Amino acid sequence: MERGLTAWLLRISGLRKLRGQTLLKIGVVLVLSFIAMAIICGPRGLEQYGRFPGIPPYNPAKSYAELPRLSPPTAKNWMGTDHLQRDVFSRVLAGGWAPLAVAFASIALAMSVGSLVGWISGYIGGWPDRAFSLTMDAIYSFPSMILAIALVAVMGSGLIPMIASIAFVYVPTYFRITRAEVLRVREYTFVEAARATGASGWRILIRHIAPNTVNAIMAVSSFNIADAILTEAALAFLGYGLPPPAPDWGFDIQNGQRYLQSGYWWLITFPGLAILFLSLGFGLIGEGISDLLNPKRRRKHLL
Amino acid sequence: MSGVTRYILQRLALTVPMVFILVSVVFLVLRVMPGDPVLAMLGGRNVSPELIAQKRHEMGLDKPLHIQYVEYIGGLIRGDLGRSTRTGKPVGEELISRLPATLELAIWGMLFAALFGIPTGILAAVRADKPTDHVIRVLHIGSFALPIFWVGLMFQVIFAVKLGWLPVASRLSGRFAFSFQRITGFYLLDAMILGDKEVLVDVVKHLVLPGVTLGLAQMGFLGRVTRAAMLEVLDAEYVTTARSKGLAERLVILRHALRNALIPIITVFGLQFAMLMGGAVLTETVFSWPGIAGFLIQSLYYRDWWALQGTIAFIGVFVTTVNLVVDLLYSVIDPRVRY
Amino acid sequence: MRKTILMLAVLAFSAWALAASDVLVLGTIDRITELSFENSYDHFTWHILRHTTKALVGMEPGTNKIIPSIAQSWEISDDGLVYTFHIRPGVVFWDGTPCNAQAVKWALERTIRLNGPEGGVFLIADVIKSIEVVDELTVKITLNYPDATFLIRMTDNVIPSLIYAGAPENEFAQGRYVGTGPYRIVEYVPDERVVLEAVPTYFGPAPKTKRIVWVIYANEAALRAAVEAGDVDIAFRTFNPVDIVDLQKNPNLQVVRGPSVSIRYLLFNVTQPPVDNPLVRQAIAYAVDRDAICERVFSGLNSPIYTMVPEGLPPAGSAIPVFPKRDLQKARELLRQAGYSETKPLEVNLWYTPTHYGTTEADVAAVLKQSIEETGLAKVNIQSLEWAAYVKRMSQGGFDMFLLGWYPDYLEASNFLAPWTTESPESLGTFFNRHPRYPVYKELMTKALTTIDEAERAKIYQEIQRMSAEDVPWIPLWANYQQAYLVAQKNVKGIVLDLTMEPHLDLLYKE
Repeated sequence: MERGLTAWLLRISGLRKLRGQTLLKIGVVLVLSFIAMAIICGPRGLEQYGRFPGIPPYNPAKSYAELPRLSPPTAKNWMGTDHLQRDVFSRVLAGGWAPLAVAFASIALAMSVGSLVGWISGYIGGWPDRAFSLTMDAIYSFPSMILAIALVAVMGSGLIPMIASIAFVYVPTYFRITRAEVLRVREYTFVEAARATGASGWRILIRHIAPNTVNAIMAVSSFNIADAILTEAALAFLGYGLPPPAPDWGFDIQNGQRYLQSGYWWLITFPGLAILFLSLGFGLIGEGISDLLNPKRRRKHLL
Repeated sequence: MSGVTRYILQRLALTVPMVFILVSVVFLVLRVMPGDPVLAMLGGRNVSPELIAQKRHEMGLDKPLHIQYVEYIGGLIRGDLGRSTRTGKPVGEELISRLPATLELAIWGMLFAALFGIPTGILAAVRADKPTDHVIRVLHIGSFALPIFWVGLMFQVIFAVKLGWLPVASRLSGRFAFSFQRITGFYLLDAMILGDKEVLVDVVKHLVLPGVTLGLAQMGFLGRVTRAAMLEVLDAEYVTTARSKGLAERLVILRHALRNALIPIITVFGLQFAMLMGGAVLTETVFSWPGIAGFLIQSLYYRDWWALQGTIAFIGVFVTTVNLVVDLLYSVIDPRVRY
Repeated sequence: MRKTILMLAVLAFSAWALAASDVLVLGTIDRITELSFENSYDHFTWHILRHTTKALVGMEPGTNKIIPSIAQSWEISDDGLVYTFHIRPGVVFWDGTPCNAQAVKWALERTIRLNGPEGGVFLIADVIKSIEVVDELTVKITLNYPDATFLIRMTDNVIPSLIYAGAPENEFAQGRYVGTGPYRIVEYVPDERVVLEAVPTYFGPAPKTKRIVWVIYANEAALRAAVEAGDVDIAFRTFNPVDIVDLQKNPNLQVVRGPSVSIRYLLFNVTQPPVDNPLVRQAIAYAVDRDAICERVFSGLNSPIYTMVPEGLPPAGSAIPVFPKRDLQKARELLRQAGYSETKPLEVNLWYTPTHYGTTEADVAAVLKQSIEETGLAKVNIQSLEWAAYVKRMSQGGFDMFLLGWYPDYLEASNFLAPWTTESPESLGTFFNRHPRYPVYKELMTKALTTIDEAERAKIYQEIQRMSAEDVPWIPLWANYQQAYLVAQKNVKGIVLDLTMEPHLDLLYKE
């Protein structure tokens, strides 16, 4: 694995000054600040609230009798308060934990499972390969959002069901990438050579084919994380997210929806912006990585 | 056998098992999951074991799994999707009556996406690597970083609640709802057939927000594809020739470049359908749009197995068919593609 | 061809010559499940059914006293086992067939025989032993056991008691029937609208409005928008609480609140640790903050309750508030007594379902968690399951502490006490049948149900409520008023809301 990964790290480490890197930089800054916020304010911070004085300003999970109910943004509550007399700003700061955890975990899971099955399937070939491909195509062609919702509804709400269902949706993506790469690389002479020297099938698989697929996978995964964040938000919006009173942007938007017609705009605006910026951050990183990996493709920016 | 015919047959041969796999997965998953449709229906009141057993029998749930499966697949082949336990009506009927709503929404979403995606894509390609291009590019990426349900809600807050320009949700105002007659189920078309201008305006007003919401994410995607396709074509020989002939740049772009770039754009347009259906779930939820996706969400809440299986199978068949048709169209449109 | 017919129907509809005040448009977000007496069990379907046909006895709008309906009088035998009903002469179904003793017998027997799995037929089927035709206008019903609630069960508030004709012998009615009520259904488009038209042959006072249109809206937001825009004359069931607060400020609308018999409460499985300890249950009863729930989650629209029996439910004087007001100090004392401390807090699960009681349920759980944890001696883990899984796990005894709601099957206090204690403690998750005092409850309940005298019966119900405050198998939390609010345009008159929690359509009219 090292070869591809090192090369990739070298390339994005900024040694080569490319104009497209502005996007990458913005993306990295956005994502890192959200990650930092999630670590400081996330669920572990919830239980030991007050570890970092003033961050977030209020316990995001607690109703404060002294706070007004449904107050618009003020100097004290920058993003207003919600119907349970909680501070919206604190909830927005802490609300990134669930989307980030779910997105990272689910894509990692999808990547491992998808790639592994893809390698095996592509290498073995024959009818197992056809069966795998067909199944994966069936999943892939189905609208991913609908599939994720259906699966999570089946498994119940919470962190693990969300991770599992989103991972399931992305398995075919990695399966396809890896399998295509395996088929391509299989024809390479060095594989032939390795085979001629008597290396076992599995050895060839790991030593030669694995590193070559890493690049393609890295480029895709950033976009997938961006997408997974939106999916998590949608699941939480539909009520399949973390148990209350844990802050979760999508769920807070669902709550805000009840107050929409009364014009309490701040309940939905701020958590939504947070989702948008986090997802955008990963989108920009994905764009930056594609540029770096394929300088030639830069002008065309195909997905 | 001609190449195209063989290709169609090949694709069909692949589509059938794909749908079959999808349906089987759904069937199995539903039976593995916790929660019992019978108990959900009876709702925790004075439920006697006999009543549960009786209902289970009526729904065929007391039969062994493989027999249930064979019966279900048999029904599917005959076009019988079973009966919804929530509404008591055949699932097929439910889906057909809801399809126009979803399609109407999808068409408007697509139209919006095309209206804004293609021109901005062209503009970005023409001004490649200039500030205009960068701005458009970020907008395009931003457009699919948008949480679609949130966009819908923000539109409602701004345009319905604060400004009062457009209705919050649904397909038609209540004052028309009870006298409105569905003819095709496409309300826009129905309103035109009925010839009532007031109703027509009302229908259009109701379509704007959900249509734009659904179209926004597609816009970015389409814009990027347009840009890429245009760049490729603009570099091509015939465009250079046209330029050297001294044709006006605008004419070159519109007449020569765009026409050729349209082929991949149209393809992507069709392939986006799966994505569009996914977005439709959330759009329909937020705007209380009485379509297929909303039906799916309701069925999930009520553990309505037959409705769920049927809807997922339906969406699967629908999306695969659209993909197939687009693929075939592509082979017809583009003379370079040979099978 | 079909299109032409539809077009003609449209033309007919628009040319339709009724004056505007003859039509009343109502909006709701409720849905009709199935128009079958023997196979439906939900508020809106029952509302429509009972406006199209009547039962032997009725309830007076506004007071819920039992009044004559199809039967103009009745006698009860001394042992309480035989009820003889005398049918009002001249009652006819829409098609003109007379409603006689034979028709009553046929309808009731058919309902009981078909007993749909989704219906509430058990409400009358368990108690009725036989139905006999004595003469053309006299019918005699014999019971299996004396039941003080029998007449209440025979009112048109309990749909299986309705008398109808013309329904298929061995299939669910699904809208195929003729009734005796003030209205008949002229159009029903699922999820869109139901149109009712006054029936000239109705034996009661003629309905004030000829045509009633129920428009079915997709959600709360759409319903609110409709009544604000004047699209509907009346909007009913269900508003977001905050929307009602807003609408009350609207000078063009009238907002009417009726009584509520819809209650919410916490239940315990009394066999599950740690809540098998009565001290723990009592402590939680002291700790729960009902006011915070009502104010924060429901914008002050719902009201705290301190007993399971709703105010005003027959028999008169049944309801007595027995549960304590919030007292954190007392809660702490009880928890310490049970052996818990700051370092060894009580750990308890709180279960809720996000898919049955609306999106506010998660907030309710959050507020409850905080209010119990404010003792400083408890830690509450919130857990959720969607409704189907929730019900299953509940009946298996898998919850220690959980949220549930009740809407009555029939309007009598026993329906708010018996189900959890004596009727079905296991399927409702309390497993109270294994509680040491269970036999006492059972005995009291049996006695109450055979006590015809209302004052006497009320006393027994009071005793059961007092005991429940000591044993705490439940903690009553609040009464739902969200569904008791009716919002109407200013010119709508005749709005009567009572314990049935629905408007009486035949009394409504527009000025």
